[in-house]
Amino acid sequence: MTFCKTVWLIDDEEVSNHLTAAALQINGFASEIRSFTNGKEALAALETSEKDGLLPDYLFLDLNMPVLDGWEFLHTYRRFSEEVKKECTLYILSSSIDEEDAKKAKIHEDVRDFIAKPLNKNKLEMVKFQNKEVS
Amino acid sequence: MNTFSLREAGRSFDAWEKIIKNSLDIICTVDREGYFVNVNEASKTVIGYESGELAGKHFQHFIHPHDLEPTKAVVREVVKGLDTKNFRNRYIHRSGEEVLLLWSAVWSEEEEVLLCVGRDITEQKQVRRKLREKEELYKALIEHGSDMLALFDEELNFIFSGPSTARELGYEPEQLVGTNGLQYVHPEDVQKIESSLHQLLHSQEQVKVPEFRFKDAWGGWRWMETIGSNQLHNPAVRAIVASSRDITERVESRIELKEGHQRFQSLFEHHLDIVLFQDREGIIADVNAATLSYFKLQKETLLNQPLSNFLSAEVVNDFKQGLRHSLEGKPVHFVSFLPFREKKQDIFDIVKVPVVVNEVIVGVYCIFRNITELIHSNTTIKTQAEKLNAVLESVTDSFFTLDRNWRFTYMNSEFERLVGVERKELLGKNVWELSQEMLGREFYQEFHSATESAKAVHFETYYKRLEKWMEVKAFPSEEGLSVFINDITERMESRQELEKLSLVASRTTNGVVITNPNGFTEWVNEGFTKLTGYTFPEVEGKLLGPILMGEETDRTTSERLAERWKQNKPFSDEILNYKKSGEKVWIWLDVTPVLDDDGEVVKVVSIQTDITDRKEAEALQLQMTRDLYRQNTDLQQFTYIVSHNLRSPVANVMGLAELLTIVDKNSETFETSLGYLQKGAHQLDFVLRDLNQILTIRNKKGTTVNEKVEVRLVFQQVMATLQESLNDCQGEVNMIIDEGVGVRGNKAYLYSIFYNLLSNSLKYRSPDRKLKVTVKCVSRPESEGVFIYFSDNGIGFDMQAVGDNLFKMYKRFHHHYEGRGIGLFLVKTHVEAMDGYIEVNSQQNRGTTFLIYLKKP
Repeated sequence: MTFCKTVWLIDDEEVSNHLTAAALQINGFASEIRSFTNGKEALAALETSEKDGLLPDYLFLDLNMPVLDGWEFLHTYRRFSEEVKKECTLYILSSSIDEEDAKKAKIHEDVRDFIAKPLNKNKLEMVKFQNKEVS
Repeated sequence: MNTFSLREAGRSFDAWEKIIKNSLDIICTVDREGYFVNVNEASKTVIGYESGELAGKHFQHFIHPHDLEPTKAVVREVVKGLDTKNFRNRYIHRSGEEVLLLWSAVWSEEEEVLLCVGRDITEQKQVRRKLREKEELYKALIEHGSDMLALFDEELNFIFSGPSTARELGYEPEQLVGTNGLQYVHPEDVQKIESSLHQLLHSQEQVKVPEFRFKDAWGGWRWMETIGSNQLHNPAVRAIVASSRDITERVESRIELKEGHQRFQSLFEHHLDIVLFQDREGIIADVNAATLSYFKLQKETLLNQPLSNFLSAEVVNDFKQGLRHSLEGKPVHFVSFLPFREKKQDIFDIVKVPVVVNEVIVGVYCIFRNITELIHSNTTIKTQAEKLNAVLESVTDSFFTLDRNWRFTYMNSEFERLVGVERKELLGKNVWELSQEMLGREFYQEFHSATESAKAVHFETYYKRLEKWMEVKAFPSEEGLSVFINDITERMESRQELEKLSLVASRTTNGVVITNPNGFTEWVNEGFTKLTGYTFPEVEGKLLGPILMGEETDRTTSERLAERWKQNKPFSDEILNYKKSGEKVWIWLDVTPVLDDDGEVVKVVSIQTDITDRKEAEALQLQMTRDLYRQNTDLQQFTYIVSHNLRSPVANVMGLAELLTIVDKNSETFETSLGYLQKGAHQLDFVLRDLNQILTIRNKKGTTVNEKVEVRLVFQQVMATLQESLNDCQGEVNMIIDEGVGVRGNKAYLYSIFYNLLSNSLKYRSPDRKLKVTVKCVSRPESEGVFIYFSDNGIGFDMQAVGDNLFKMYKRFHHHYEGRGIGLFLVKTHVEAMDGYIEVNSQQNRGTTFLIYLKKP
């Protein structure tokens, strides 16, 4: 039994996606992982999912991407309905170690938190903790 | 006598005797002396005496004394043998009355008596007298009666015309007799007369011609009534007798009456106002057309209804009272708002007029005049007047009007304030009653001049009392004079100020230029000459721009100046000018347009200050700021590179290293992760090299780049390097670079620029068409630099989306294409390291063009 069902990775870097996916699997975080190499595709898929009612549980979003970078993705994501945002928890997963980036991400209303790559067991434990169901 | 028998003779005698005895006439015999012998019985009836009473008596006892002698004379005559047949004398009847007798007498010789027959003709005579009297009556009637008598023949020619015709119609009988009666008859009535004549001649003895017009001797028409009588067969007359009477007055008054009625009917019916007739009880008895059209009702609906049925409840009593007053003979006139129940919006002016027949008021005419519009327009006029008043009151000018006799008819409160006298004291007063101090000296002359010439006057005057300058405008009109007074103290003061200022301007070290609104120079001061080297005669009437601006004068600045100039507002700006000597001078311009009363520009004053020193200091500062800014940006970029591009492979390596310790060494993941680890290490290396390269270029900037680099040569080298890739895609390069054209800089940098651009063209070529690259180098002898245009027909990019990120490090704009996002960053860095600049223009799916500017060696 995994922590959640579906996680989407939005990152143009193949190596990073491989690594993140492995971390998620090994730590039993998600049973279904889908990766998008740019923000545009992810947004399109999200719109479809909204209609079908098959929204992902978590979104891991990279900042540095061609075409539509992380910030631009968030700008468009803002327009999605509250139902979508309730369903999907969004994390920034970036290689950046710039304090500015982390600060900017943490205060963004649609971002749950900022995680510096690489994703590993400890960081996933924190995610689990942050999203623990209050019984 | 032979046949005459005695018997017969005896019978004949008896017959005669009987005849004599029964005769009505007196038959008698008288002797020579005048004594009656025999008298028949007629004497009794004629003169009242028995025959026996008369016999033996002398006739003198019975004859009227006046007739005695003539009778005796006649007797003597007759005795002599002269018969008489018509002797008249009068006998005195026994009763005393005269009896007129007509005698025939003959003398009988054998009997010696007079045989006399006397006939009582008293009655005959009376009849004749009566007859004569009657004739005289007729004559009098004809002469003095008012009826006009005339006789006509059967063709209606006058035979006779009575004197009253002359009196009544002015025609003397001789004028009419012999003329035809019809010629005097009105053409319209001729027919009437002719048909009457026909009746008279053929069927009736008497005809009455009721009315016809007959022309009188003075040319007027007279109405006549004639009775015609056919007496053509009467032997005594043998004419048509016509008796006529002038009935003009009667006919005319009848016609007048008829016309009067029609006139009234027409007035009633066609009256534009609503008119209706009410009887004493207030019931509507008649209405006119205007009423029907107003109510849009049929007449029947209104008639026999009380008027109050159509009135609104509020006014019923008003109307009842109106009716009552009118019936009492009082004049009734009132205004009623919204009187009709159905038509509430209208306002009426109402008059009630009583109708008197035989001194009794039988009813009342009500006239409703709709005055809604009048009231409304009155209201409008009133509000407009109020508005006008408000406008005049709100005018900041003092304002007053005078009539033709110089009396105040209006003034606003501003004027009250100005002269310090209240309006009510001034209205109707003669303006010259105000003291001269109040009005100022010039008024009298100027106002008189305005009214005499009928032209507006305009003058400025100083009010000593208020210590103010006033501008006065007076407009004469039919009604009098309208006068506006405006406080211009400020303007006058500023004018004096200006005069003082121009004195200052001529002495100041700043340049002062006065131009007309179109910019043509009218005046410059000495400061201008010192500042520019141009004297006044050299610039007079000329535009200064072309004289003062030069090659390095910024075009956008000069355009901006021209634009601001047009707005007619004061502005300041700075511009690079050239002195007459060619020396550059930075000028601070203060431009102030001078406006007239109507807001039109009459002059423009520009003050020029030399700010060259400041500008030079500024330029230095600007350069320092730019350098500082670039270094700052570089630093930011460096942070970004470190945090993303350097950190990214590091993160990967860290993650992979950790992963490798967890996963099974024989698993697929282990293999892949190992491969990725290797890739990550290489990536790290690339980034470090890039950084090194960039930092090296930056540091060398301005120190190592001074050699001449041949553009054509370098580009040929780049082409050779990439020839294989070009061949693979059958790409085509069109190079338009003259041999020998060079730029100042570093050969390796130019190589890097061309290499990166051509690589990009190859990488981002369109799959739909063959790659075509054009490189063009433009080197103008007058220019300090060289322009290189590099364009391709590739997939291009969205300029708007990319924005200013294009030349930034590690920025990438295309998926599915390999690239680190360093190429264009390097190009830009190299261009700038050689003191040049680069611009780009691109259209998606059309291609991209780069413009590179580099300095000449």
